Amino acid sequence: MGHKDKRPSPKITKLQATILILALCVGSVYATRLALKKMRVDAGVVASRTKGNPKARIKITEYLDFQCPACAKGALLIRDALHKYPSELYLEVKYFPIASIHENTMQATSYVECAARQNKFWDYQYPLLERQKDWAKALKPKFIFQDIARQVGLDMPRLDVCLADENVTAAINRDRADGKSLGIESTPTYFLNGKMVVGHKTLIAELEKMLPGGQH
Amino acid sequence: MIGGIFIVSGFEKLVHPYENFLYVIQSYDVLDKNIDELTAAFFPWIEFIAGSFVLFGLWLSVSLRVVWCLTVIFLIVVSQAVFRNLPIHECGCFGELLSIPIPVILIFDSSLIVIMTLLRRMIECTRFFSLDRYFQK
Repeated sequence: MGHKDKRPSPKITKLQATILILALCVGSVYATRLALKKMRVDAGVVASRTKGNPKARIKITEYLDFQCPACAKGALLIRDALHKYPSELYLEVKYFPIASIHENTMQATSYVECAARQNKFWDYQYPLLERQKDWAKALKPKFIFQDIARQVGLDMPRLDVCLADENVTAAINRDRADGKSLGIESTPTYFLNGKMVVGHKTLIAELEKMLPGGQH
Repeated sequence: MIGGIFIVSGFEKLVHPYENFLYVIQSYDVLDKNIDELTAAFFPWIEFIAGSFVLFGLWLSVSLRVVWCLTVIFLIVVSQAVFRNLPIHECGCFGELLSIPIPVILIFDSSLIVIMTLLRRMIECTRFFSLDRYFQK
């Protein structure tokens, strides 16, 4: 009599199991992407700080952290491009502070937002970014922020009231939450006519394709 | 556990815009621009699928080799970034999910390589609860 094999035969083959696992992998990724897409905010809907020609063919939405060196390079680069091609570009700036790695960024962003509330957003932002190396590692960057505020002519008592206002932090966090909902994870992140671009080097490459005669 | 790590790492990169991982790759300044983009597009799939096969224990000897190679590549890339003193604060391995400083990830990946090397040598033991054993004739 022959020996009976007690192990039951597999109901599916190894190849079928392989295909099933691959399908599971691909399916789970696409299902999750679809679910996340439905939760995302349309990049054009959220309120912003703007500059340039609203009818420009190149619209840039910039999410930045004021303590991020690459963000400073990108912002100053866009400033130069706006000077050179004022009718070609339209810029919106949104806040995306990453406080977990940049200890002074929330404070810097609060000063920028309060400057914006005195209609001096651009006057404040650029000196802040140009002096980033001074305040980024400072133990008490407040003195530098206030020095910039005095230089650009901010109303100092009004600035102090603004800085104490909880709504300022709420406004900053709203921008960040909107950025997160768009899938932003690092800064600088830009949306060029809706196309996501991460990093100032990629921004340069994209602008060179889009601007007449290159970016410079 | 090893399968789980690669599944989480790959999945996190796959469900968010690939531009985020592209930026991480560009920060390490190793590859050419066109290869950067291809790597950003395909690397997370390789991580996720290989991790899944390790988890299920299917084609285990192949999938373990793949994750071992991925870890070695990553260790080399991170080490060259440290050697060149590139301004990278955290590895970007798990996207926004987990922020791991570079020195920690170097130790972690080195340990993973040792564990995977041992697992490959003891492959018959690792197959005990695997689908490979289930399909073995």
